[in-house]
Amino acid sequence: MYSGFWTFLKQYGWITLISSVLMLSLVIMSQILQNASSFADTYSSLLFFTLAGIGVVLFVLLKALWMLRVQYKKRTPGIKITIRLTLASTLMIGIPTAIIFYFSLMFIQQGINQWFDVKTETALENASALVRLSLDNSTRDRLKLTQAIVEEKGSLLAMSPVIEVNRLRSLLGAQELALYHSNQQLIAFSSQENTTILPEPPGDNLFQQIRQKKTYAAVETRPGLTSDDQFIRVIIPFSDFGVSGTYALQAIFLIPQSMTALAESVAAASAQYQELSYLKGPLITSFTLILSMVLLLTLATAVLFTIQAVQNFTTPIRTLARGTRAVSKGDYSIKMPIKENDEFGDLTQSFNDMIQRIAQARNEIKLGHQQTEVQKLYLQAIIKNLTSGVLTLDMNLRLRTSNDVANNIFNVEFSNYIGQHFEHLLYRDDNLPQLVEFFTHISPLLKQSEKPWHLQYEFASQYGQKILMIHGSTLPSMDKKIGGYVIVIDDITALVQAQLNAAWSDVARRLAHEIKNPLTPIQLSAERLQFKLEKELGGQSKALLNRMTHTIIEQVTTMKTLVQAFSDYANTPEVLLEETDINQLIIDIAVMYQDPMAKWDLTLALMEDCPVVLADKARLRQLFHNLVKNAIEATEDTILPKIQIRTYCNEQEQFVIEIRDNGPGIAEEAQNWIFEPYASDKPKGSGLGLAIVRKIVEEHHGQISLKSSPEMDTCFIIKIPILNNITSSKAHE
Amino acid sequence: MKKTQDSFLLSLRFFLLMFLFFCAQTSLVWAKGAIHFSELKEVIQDQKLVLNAEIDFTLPEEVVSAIHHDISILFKTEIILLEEKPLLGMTFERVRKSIEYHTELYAYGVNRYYVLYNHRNHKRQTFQTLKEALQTLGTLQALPLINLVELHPEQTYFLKIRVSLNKWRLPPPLLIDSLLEPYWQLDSGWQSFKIRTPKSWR
Repeated sequence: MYSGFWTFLKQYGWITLISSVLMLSLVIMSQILQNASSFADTYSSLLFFTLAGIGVVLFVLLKALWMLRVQYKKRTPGIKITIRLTLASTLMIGIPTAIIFYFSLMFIQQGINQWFDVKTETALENASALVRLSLDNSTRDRLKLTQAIVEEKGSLLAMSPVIEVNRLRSLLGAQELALYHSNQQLIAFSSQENTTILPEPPGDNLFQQIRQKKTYAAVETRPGLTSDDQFIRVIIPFSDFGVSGTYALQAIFLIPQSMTALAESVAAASAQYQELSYLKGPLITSFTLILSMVLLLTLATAVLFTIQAVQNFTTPIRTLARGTRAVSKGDYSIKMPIKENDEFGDLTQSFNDMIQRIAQARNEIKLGHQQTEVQKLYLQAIIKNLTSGVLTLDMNLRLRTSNDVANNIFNVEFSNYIGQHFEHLLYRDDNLPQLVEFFTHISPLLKQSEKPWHLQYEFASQYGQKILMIHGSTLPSMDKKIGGYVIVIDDITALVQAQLNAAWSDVARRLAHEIKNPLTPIQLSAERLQFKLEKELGGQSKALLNRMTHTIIEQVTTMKTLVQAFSDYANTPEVLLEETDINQLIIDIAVMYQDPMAKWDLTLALMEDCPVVLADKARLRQLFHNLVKNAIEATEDTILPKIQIRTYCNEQEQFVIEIRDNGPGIAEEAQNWIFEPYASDKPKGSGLGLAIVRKIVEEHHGQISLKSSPEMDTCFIIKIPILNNITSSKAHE
Repeated sequence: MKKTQDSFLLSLRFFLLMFLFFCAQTSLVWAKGAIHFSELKEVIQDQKLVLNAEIDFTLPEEVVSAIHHDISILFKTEIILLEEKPLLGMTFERVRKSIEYHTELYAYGVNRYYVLYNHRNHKRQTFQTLKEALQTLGTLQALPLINLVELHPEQTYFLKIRVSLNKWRLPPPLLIDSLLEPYWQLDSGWQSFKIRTPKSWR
């Protein structure tokens, strides 16, 4: 309660005080103008005080308006409504006040003008003239009478002044009669009141007039007991031959009190009228000034009150705006002070509650987001380290995530296409053909099935045929609809290959075991039959026997060779890796096939400073024999068969061996299974040559690939890891 | 904020400049007086320094009209006797005597007598014409200033005199006119003269 009162005093007190004092001053000034002469001396002080006070109020008003302008430029919250309400209030107060001001001015002007009219002025002038005429006549009569007596009795007066003065005073009916010498010496006097008080002598100027022998008659005034007394002073200078010098007889005739009162009342009325008549213009000016100051003070005070009131009114709005601005900048810790327990206070309280709840919710969201991020990173780490390729798509089949394994499988950097519809990837300029077939296969499954699905898919990559196991599943969403898809891709090529190898090894082992054993008795039996019966038979029977037993022995030998090949394929002896100079190994083997009589032309293009490679010489020798034989067999029908063995190191620090022939080439579809057992379409051979070659390469942790087409050369490319860049020369040392 | 204050101070300075310009103009108008000293003389009389002065009053028509409309006019007479004293190369002035009084001039009665009322000695004198009244008003005859014993023969003395219409004592409605209209600016200005040191002092 007290604080509210002090706040009110602080905000409105000074302007109330100044306005009240100035208004009081203006009231006093208006009273002074309306003839309150007791304060007349203070009028100028009040005028300047009021002007200064109004100046101060206007200064404060200008300052307040300037501050409003500054706040408007700064876009201070609530300033627009402050200016709008101030303008509205100013107009609401100013227009009626201006109208009242206008009419007040009119009334003042008309009122002051109505004080004066021609009749009154004429009447007063006539009355004054009448009084003046009457007094003039009376004065003139007294002058003539005195003058006549002085002419008649002048000599007697000079001779016996005391007696004559008394007599003449009675004769003239004067109140006082005095005889003066021109040197201002009083000779005799007589008074009606028989007093001994000397009469008041004429002034110096009158004696000057006496010396110039000029008469004097005038109505004069002297202070009386209650009021000023008016009297007629008549001075007649005269000279007598009997006496020397000039005398002057002064007669004082008292004007009757009744006449004096009437004359004074007429004079006072006339004087007041004249004064007011003269002051008419200045009065209007002064009242206009006072009224203008009242108007100015009222308006300035009203505007100042309005600005302060509106500022108070908009304080909560400014507070709220400050709060919302802070919140918009992300500061949720702000708390708005509540100064008033009104609707704005409730609003501010609600705002504080709202901000607190938003801050709480924001913290929870932030925490959740952090947890989600952690979870996301966790999942990303898992996905990245999975041995399976993972691709996720959103519900619109846009790529969302991928991992490195998926990139490696498809040889595509999927992270460059995050956010793109996977169908769009198929029609890009950079053309990703390896994906076209893949997405063609899985697209119907994605669109049709909401249940998990699996697909084994053979994929021809640039590194050879791959067998992929694709698992697909939908991802849930908040609305329990499909939120996306996850595709897990397992490269099972090696697994399948291992299974096949194992199967073939088992078959070979069984064949070797089941077939090899009966072959020797068959061969021995055939040879025994030939030996026993050859002597007993003759002629055609003998030739038939020889031919039959030769066939049996030849086929048994062939089968033994075949069984040996199966045995070699099935047996996986421990590889003895040692530092090997492969170039030298190649040269040793090539010598065996470089026969000048041979149809083919085997050339070598070996790199200098061949690096040392860890390898099993015996196995590699078998590998080179198989490949060279394969090349020789492939170029049997070629006119000028050429075989080249080339070695070099690639950027991946691998030792590369290329065995090229100019045979008819291998069909593209055959390249995928050429390394499988019994993949050869040749009539001769065991069908295990290239399968053994691949097995030996894999035993050396290398890779083998084939570049060939029906119209081109055939080139087998073998890549074997290099051992620490040790050159062959060092190895020899 | 600083820029705002500068702009505000700039505006304030502009208004102050305008106010000073207005004051300068007003003071120029005030300088036009119609009161002149025709004679100023100090006289030693009965071991007293007395002043004799003749002042010519030329009242503008508006002022005369005001008198004829029963407006009282107060003339302020200021007389200052200054003692000038050099000290350490600087000159100091000391007021030895200061006289200030008002003489009221007004018309009275139906016969329109002109009355002079001296507020100092409360003497009232009536005249039939304004000219006589002004002549009397402008005559200072043997006005005693100071006893000679109070003055030092070796010092320099200056007498300053000024007669002006006291517009602050006009009727209140006339105050604004008196501030703005030049015909109310009746002021002789300060007249100063050095007092000749009598030989008897030496």
